[in-house]
Amino acid sequence: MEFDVTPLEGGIHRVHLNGRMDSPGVDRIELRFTAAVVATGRTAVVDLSDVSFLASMGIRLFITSARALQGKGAKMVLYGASKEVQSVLDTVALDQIIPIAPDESQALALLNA
Amino acid sequence: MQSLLPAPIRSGPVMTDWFFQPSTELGGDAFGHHQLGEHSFAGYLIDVAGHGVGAAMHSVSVMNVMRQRALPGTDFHSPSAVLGSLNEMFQMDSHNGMYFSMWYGVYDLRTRIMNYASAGHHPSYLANPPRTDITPLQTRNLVIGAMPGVSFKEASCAIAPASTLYVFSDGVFEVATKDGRQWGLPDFLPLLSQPPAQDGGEPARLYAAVKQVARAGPLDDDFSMLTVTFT
Repeated sequence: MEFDVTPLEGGIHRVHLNGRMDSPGVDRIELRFTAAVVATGRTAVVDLSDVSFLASMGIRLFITSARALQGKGAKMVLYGASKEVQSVLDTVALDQIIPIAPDESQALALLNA
Repeated sequence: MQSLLPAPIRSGPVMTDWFFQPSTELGGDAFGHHQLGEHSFAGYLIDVAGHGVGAAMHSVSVMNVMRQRALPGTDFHSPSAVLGSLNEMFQMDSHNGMYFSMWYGVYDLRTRIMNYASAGHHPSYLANPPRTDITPLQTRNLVIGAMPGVSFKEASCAIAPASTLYVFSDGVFEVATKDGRQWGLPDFLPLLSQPPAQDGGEPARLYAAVKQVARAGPLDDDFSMLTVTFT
């Protein structure tokens, strides 16, 4: 599991995740993700298009990150999930606390809504 | 964990059976059932995210709250109320970042109506006696512990005589197969349409069927299957 962060206009970060978000995958990135995404306090749009698998530890990372960003006055939006990953997101009803969009442009539109 | 699970009920208007096979790494599954007064019967299953001692202990804590009905001011006949109270009691900020999914149902023997609610959990399934109709029972709610103040939706359904309810954890269907594929819920569901085991043993039948397709060795996650048959 890896990720990279790209600054966008308006002080927003695009976070691109790549790989399996299972326990080993999340363990591998969690500290760096928290430092690079959460500690900055910048609103983040998170690209899930290259996430091949999402398990409970991945869900936990999203919840804790989104709540931490919210505490700093920032937001998180997820987008681009595959059918399988979206199914997991739907089962846990994550959109009740983290907005989820089909693509980046709609993710950015949600931030402006 | 096994010592905390309720004894199966082999006779009466509501009969239960279960199969529990823990994964090699301690998991966070727990389930149970109990009578609620003279006319109601409650059943539930929880799945704490993650593995290890922490997840296992968390599942035991939740299970003990359920067994002792230790949710102040909560009507245990109301699934939405139970999930709401559990959510306030077990916020992940106060429990080492842990959250859990849950399915909870309450059956009224007088009306043959079951009220149920699920939180971040896949459906439980109600099978009619000829197994021609396998109905998913799920309400779309957030996992428990993610955010305080969230409300939980519940639903209800009528229970026909001789129906069977299947309540299970995702370890039942998230298995790696012998041919290198990853099974999902749609792969598992056809097993519920097969003729059930006679004279009990239905959860064990399903475990054997899953093990037959799974790769060699132990399953990756706890296998928890609770069946409830309504006479």
